[in-house]
Amino acid sequence: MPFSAFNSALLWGAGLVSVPIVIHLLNRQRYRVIDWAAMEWLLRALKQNRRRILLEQLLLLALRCLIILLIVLAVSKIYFSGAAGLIGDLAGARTDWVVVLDDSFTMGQTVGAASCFERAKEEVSGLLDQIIESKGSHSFALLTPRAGGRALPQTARVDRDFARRLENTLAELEPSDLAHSSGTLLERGLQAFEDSEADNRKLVVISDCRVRGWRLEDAAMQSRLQAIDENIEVHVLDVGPTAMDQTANLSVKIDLREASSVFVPDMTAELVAIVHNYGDEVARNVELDCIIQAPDRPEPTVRPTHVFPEIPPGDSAEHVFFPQFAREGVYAVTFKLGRHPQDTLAADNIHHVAIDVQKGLRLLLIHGEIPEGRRRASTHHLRLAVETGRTEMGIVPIVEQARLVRPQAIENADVIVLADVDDLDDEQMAALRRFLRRGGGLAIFPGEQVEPDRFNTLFGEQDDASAIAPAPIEPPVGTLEGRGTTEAQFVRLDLTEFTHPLIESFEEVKVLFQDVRFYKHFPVMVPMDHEDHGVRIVASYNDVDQSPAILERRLYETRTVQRGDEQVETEVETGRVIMVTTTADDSWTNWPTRMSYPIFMPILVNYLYTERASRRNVHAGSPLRHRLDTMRYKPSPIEVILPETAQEQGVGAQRTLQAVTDPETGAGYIALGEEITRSAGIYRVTLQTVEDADDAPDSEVTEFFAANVDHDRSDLRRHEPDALQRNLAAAGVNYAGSITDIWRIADESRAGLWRYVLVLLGCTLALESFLGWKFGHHKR
Amino acid sequence: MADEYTKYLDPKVLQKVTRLELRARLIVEGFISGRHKSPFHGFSVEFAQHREYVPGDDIRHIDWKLWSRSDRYYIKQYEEETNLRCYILLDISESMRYGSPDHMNKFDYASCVAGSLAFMLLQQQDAVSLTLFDTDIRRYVPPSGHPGHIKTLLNEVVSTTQERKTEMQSIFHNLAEKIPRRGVVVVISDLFAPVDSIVKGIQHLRHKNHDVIIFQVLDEYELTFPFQSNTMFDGLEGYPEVVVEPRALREAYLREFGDFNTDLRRRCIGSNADFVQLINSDHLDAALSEFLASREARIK
Repeated sequence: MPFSAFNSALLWGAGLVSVPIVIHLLNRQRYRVIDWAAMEWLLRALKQNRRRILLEQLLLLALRCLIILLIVLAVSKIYFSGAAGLIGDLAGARTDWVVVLDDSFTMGQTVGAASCFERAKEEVSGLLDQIIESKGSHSFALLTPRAGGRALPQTARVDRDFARRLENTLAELEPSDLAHSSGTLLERGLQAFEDSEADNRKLVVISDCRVRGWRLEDAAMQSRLQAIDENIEVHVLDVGPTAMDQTANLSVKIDLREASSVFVPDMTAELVAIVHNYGDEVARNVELDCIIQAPDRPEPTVRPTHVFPEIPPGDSAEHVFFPQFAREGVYAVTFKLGRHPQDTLAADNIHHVAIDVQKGLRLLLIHGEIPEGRRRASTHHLRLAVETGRTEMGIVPIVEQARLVRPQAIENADVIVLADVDDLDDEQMAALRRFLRRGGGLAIFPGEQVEPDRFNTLFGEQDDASAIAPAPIEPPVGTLEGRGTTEAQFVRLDLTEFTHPLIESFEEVKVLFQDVRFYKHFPVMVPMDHEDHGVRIVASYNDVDQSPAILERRLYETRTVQRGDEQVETEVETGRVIMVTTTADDSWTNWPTRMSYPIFMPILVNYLYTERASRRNVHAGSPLRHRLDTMRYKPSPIEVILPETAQEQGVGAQRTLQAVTDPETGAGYIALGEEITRSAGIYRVTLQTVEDADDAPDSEVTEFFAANVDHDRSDLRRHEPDALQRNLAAAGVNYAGSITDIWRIADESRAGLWRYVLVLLGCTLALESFLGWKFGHHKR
Repeated sequence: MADEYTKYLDPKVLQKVTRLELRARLIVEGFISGRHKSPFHGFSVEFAQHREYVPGDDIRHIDWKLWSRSDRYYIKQYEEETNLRCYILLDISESMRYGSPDHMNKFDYASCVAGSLAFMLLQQQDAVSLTLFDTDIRRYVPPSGHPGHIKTLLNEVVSTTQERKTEMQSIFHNLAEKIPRRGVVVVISDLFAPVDSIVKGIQHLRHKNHDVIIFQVLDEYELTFPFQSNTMFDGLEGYPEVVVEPRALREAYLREFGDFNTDLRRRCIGSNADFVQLINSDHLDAALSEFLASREARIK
């Protein structure tokens, strides 16, 4: 049917044309009765004018029906389809084209002579040629999906001159280090139509349609597809490699979770590089370089190249570097794969890491009152345990009594352990919450002096959203009489499950826990849906109830964060809390006197610290936010030298910033926004030292931050075209392999008639009013 | 019922008309005329005395015979024997029943007019007769100049009903033959009848030397046709009912009705009858006063 409407559902409103007729008929039935004397002249007037009145009524009725019809047509925005030719010209059909060019780093995959991105650029040129040759009025905008990325401003007139300018722009475009999702690509394109009133709105998304980026089954993506305005014609042009098996790719990354998380000067560190072969053939002789940049040296140190003899298809190989960091400060470490014939994507062959080397991890051990007759605080064994491995782990324990500990000390700690503490004042609690909010790790050992009610009041009852402890505790169970000489008088750890990261490394050596006995402990009531509240049971006792022995609560906060190139509101993990439901010393358990204790405790401290250590490293395009020690460094100026890739991508070479202040905590932060961190590489930040700072001999200090491509997207598998086509077609999106496929559909343009309908409506209204007045049917 | 007639003697109306009469007495003319020249001059009056002419007297009243004898100017003065006889013809047809909201219906308004005139005439000791008619003469009250006659007249008015058609011509013919002496015939009606029949009746009365005054009483709505919404007009005097959209028909109706009124007025005046159109939204006193004033000016 040549005619249709943008809001076709509203066309049903055409049935309303009968309304004036119905009103007319109803009005004929509704009248008032008047006795009339001058009837002779009324009848005479009626007789002479009956036909005229009838015609007038019919004419007005027809006009009123027409008005209703025109209103319906105008509201439903009627158009004439297939109006590419003369009708389109006559009706002034206009087409707005928005082309979203996916510049994710995977678009740089080169198969054969050209990369996916090169092919995409050719398709853009081809599309523009088609548009120029076609009739009608066209506007054209080329967008890249990064925030604010508009490669070429929209033009109202597409001609050869515009095509020339577009060619120049295209020649300068290169894939970015970002990884866009299909949702982002669509969103950016659809946003560009917000102000468009064109009859024809055509969005072309040009992408390589990788499985990792086009998660069509995601509920969010599904709802986004469903929400596409039916008047926007959406095309997805797949420019990925034609053969589905062309996924050969090698990538390298370092996972700081796998490495030692605390780096101490002059201590041998471990950095594990993981190289993954995504191809379907064995990759041989893969070379890996490691380059270390110290903060105080101009030239980097290049470690000897390591060669992986072979990496099986679909598998990973690891290599551990053992660097030594000479002094305190932030080091930049870069892992780089050499060129390899089986590697089709270069962007993920490099991984940068900023490593914070510091004198040690500040572990604040806070104990309660020391009971009479006892010489040692409840943190005694803890201190011994972490001091045993002090040299290797770089943990610096500081012991404080709860009553005396300063809030400042709480805030400045890296990890805190509360042993036998159920009483902190408001300031201390506020400091503890701030500590957790900025990502601190806390371990709680409720001891023998702890009163459950007081403890629960302090650290949170069940269902308390602001609770700190994983769960409220109940009065202790067990007995110390005879220190449990029989099995029935104590419990052990349940050694059947080692899934939590904190204890997973003990699975092979669970024998270490076999002689650990717990004579008394605090039962806790954990709700069934505890995992929904961020609570996880790390380990349980082997009693009948399988009472939790170690629990974890991860604290979350809703924040607006940058995910890839999207601003999203999300739950962000802040601090984490581990609670062991017995004493930290040997009052209720023999654990502190067993070998597993000094092994477990440094791991616990490390676990609580790891998350914070990794915050210098983000994905490209994500904001960086790092606490600035304002006692040592001036908040301004902060000089940022961007990586070379940023200069190549036009982001710039250098920025001068000033620290931002958290309005709630008053703490200062170095904040690199997503517009700065768009490029993968090392970000060199120079801070000015406060003149009278005690331990800052230099006037300025260099720190590093790192941004990397999202290595999860190194998996270059693509959607099967048929499956992708089916999925997209269900949402009314056209999947195309070439610009010809798109043009075949897109050429069927629409000539919007609704503007003319509006004009006609205005004229009809005026005519109806005039005639109504003229005929005496309207009030004068 | 007994005192119902007083409503036609609206004190506001009569007070004003009476004041007018006081001014008219200076000339001592007959009825209706008030301050106007009497149409019955030298006819219904008797000679009383002579008096010497003074400048300003009407020279028509100079006794020339006496002048020829005495060579002096004397004015003849007359004493009215009876003033005049006024025959009020009040239309009680069904069409007079119509009255738009907030207004008296035409019959009530016409009755006020009749009552006012009768009262005024009786105060001057003129004789007043009343005829109520529709298709026929329904009631005839002979002329009398007794002041108490007003009660008789007005009781007749209030005890009547309006339910028949109008037939003017035969009524006028009957009356023309029935009235023995010349007099003033006052017709109060909406005159919703064929113009020819009305004019023929008037001409007959005029032929008998009656002075004819036509009061056409109309409702304001009949002249403006202000109806907006769909209306069923139920015709009085046997006309059918009809549903029309008044706004569409207003212009045509007003034209038709206007033509009728224009024709009627033209032909009544052409028959030497006074024609006064009264609208029930007009103040009755003002309308009557205006009429009397204009009549006076015309006779002068």
